[in-house]
Amino acid sequence: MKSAGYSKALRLAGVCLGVFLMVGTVHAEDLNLKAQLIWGTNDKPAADSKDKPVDPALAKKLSSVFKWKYYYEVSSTEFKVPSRGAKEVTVSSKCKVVVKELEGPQVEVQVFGEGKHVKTVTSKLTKEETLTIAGDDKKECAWFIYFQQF
Amino acid sequence: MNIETELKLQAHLDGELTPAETRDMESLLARDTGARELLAELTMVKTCLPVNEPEVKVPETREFYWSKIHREIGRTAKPEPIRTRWWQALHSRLVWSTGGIAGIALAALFLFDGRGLSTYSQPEEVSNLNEEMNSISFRSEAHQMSVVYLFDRDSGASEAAEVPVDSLVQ
Repeated sequence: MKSAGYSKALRLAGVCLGVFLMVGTVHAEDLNLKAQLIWGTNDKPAADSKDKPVDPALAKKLSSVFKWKYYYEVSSTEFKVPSRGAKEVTVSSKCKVVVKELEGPQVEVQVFGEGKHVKTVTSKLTKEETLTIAGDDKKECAWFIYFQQF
Repeated sequence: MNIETELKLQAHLDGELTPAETRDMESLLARDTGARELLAELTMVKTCLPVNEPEVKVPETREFYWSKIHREIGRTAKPEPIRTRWWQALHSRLVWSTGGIAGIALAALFLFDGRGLSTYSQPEEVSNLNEEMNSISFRSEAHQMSVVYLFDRDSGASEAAEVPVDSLVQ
């Protein structure tokens, strides 16, 4: 009776370990990301404005966090970062980023402005957690590079 | 009769009132039947307690009495330890450790997101390669968003220079 229970426990442990290892192997995959360059301002949009507003959900999220009221998408880029690799992405004529996948759900983002290396940021980035790198722009506006995983 | 009056009645019985208060109490007792009855009751209780409390004496001294108790405690036989055979101990350890491994594996299955151990960290600056730029880092818990805000250290018109992060956020 006792040896039957013991071998059952061993079998269960073996199955659990096997499933865990399988899941771990399957998930060593590329990182699908999206980088949006966004412009934030408090100026009311002109009637004939050609600026493209961001998605309303994103606009609501950004306006809940930041003080600017209006957000416009300047560019949007979807890209894939190879597993434990890096990918260079040009978000505008003046700005590019290099995104590198790190261990754990973290990425390292190097920001280049006008050819100069400005900053390196390491942060968590998952389907639930987003990363925003932002800075001042002219006339009390701001720019944002919004990273999300999909 | 209120509580205060009842307490004064008790104090009167104990002889704790001032002469003026005693005169007031005596005039109350003369006109109030309830007060007289309460005084009689209190007087009876005061008389009975010291007279009728039974006194129990221990036949020996306090030290000897407690030393007997200590000796009895020491004399009580200790229970024999349960002896287990070596293979029984090993068997129970194996079963528990196997169950533990299975539990950890199951927990890891649900906690791991496939890219390793999920640890949260605030956005960190790995390096500040541009001496002209400074940054503020914060995280919005409600929106699950990490933010790194860059600003020109020397710019007088900077939104973020020399101001706390509160000025950037709602």
